Amino acid sequence: MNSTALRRYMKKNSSVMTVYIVLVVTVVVGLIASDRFLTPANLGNVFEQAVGLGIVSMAQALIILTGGIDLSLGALISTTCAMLSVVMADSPLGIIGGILLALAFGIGFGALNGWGITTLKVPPFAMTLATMSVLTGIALIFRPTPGGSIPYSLTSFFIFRIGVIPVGILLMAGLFAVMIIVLGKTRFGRNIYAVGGNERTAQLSGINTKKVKVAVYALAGLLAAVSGLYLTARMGTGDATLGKNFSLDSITVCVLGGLSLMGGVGKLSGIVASTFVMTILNNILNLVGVDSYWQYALKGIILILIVLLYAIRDQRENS
Amino acid sequence: MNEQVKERSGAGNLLSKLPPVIWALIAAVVVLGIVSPSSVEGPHLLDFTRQAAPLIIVGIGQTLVMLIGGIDLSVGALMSFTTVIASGFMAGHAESAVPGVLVCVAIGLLVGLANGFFCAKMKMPPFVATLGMSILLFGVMMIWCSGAPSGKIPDNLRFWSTGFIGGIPSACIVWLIIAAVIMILIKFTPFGRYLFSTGSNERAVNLAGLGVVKIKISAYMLCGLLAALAGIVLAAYIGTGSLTVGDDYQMDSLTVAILGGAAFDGGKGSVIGTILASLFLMVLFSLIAVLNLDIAVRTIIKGVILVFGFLLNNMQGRSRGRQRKTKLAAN
Repeated sequence: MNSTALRRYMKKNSSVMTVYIVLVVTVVVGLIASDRFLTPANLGNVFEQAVGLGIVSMAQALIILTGGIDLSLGALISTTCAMLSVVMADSPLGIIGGILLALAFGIGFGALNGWGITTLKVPPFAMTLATMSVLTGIALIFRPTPGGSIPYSLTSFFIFRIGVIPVGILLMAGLFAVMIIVLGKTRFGRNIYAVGGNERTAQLSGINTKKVKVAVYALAGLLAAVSGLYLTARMGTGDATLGKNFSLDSITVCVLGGLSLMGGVGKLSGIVASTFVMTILNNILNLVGVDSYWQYALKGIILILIVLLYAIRDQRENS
Repeated sequence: MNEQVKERSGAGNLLSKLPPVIWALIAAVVVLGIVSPSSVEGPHLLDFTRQAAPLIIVGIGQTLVMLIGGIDLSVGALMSFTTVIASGFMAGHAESAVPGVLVCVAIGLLVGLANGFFCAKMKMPPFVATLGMSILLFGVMMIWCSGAPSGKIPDNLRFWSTGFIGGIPSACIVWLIIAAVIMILIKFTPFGRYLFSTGSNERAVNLAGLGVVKIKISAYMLCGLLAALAGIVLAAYIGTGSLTVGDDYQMDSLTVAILGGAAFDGGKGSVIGTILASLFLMVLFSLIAVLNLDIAVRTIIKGVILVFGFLLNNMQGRSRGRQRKTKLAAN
């Protein structure tokens, strides 16, 4: 009895468990590849680097769970950065006002995405590609060339380390904990899975799918703004291209984390692991001294390979 | 399909046959003429047909992929890739021009083949597969040139982007020829009919025993080929390779395909529409430049136009769908 229950549990969580196995393998590779890997300074770095990617990947994950995709999250990070570097320094808003403004801005653009996708019925990637362009423009208006500065108090808060644990990672852990509970225990969470699984059925069973989607996109916008806030504070200066790679990286993390791009399948616990896999992989490549060009090519290959593996699995299951 | 054609030729009017984006183009030219009369004099107007060349060529490629219900988000990276390879390979030698172009064309076909294999054969979601491809291409390009493109495009090839033949920009002649070939291909050959039917009703094509996968792969390969040609035209214009010059074309190619009448679920799209939409974008960019607006404003406007074009298409599609339905009901 017990073993069948265990087997059932393993089957249900197989993709999440796979990611954790991959994570362990990655760590082992790290240990073998460089003796600097396990030093407190490097571990602290890995944690610090994981935060920005982790939070924005959580945002992407929520959207992918509903069967959508968001290509504007990276640009939202850039805009947050460009905006903060201007308003925190040159306006009476100060730190708190700047943070609130950035978060509200994220929610606003997220909701705009949701509105376009549900009400105007623009396909998610086209809508978010359009807002990506708009956001890139806004970021450039705020900060045409990199510069400006973020109050050092904000920077020192986020990079403050308790042992090897930076404050930022606690923020990320807290956000993940909250969202895992929301997805698992609340009606809103169940509705997200229902909408992604089969939108028509969800609608027929009385779920306001439009509302759920707009809420998810707005929430994703908020999370992207939080990620942008963290990344900006960590960098300490304004740059309108800061988030350029994050849209694609977050999609890679989600796919690696076991999310189906068709929606409705996957868990945030998988995203935590895949965030660390990608971050540690980057870290190892840096430690070993592989130049950034190869890292780029590798990223493309990893994304294509994972999606390819899933596609092969799906085809096998269907036939 | 046939009914629709009849109904329209019944109206007789040439303008009504052209995609609605023609009105946007006319309006943009008129506004430009009011703001800056010198910009719409003969030579300047002709110059738009040269500026638009890379966008038209890659836009037609994107249109073909959208016809089969796909999408290619790697064309921008492929264009940059081509400019870097072309300038590095040719290094300013006139005799290397032809082999260089052939190398680029082969790369384009190969990338298209890979995209087609992933999207059609392996059934990977097109936008993720091609997005991955674009990152991969960028990485390979950086490795190949160590981050700094070198070389030069020889003058004999540059002529095809900067010169004039009988007063007409040679780049214009290049895209006219390419567009003509593609139009003949999709209007008068079985392949073209398959392209349309694959996009509009894949199941029916499957049942008819046609190789949907092969048709889709061909569309991606054609798109890769056209993106490579667009890259060559672009390289011939700037005279050297650039790592980022193709970036803008990624979204612009989608925008012009959609403005020209293509839909994301396939089966729709028009080469002429794409050409007109490309010219419209060029005039619009020139208007933005004349008004001294920031490059950032241009980026914002581009985003708005993409959504707007989609909505316009959708409205048209819906009203046409309704017409067809009432007709069926009447029958």
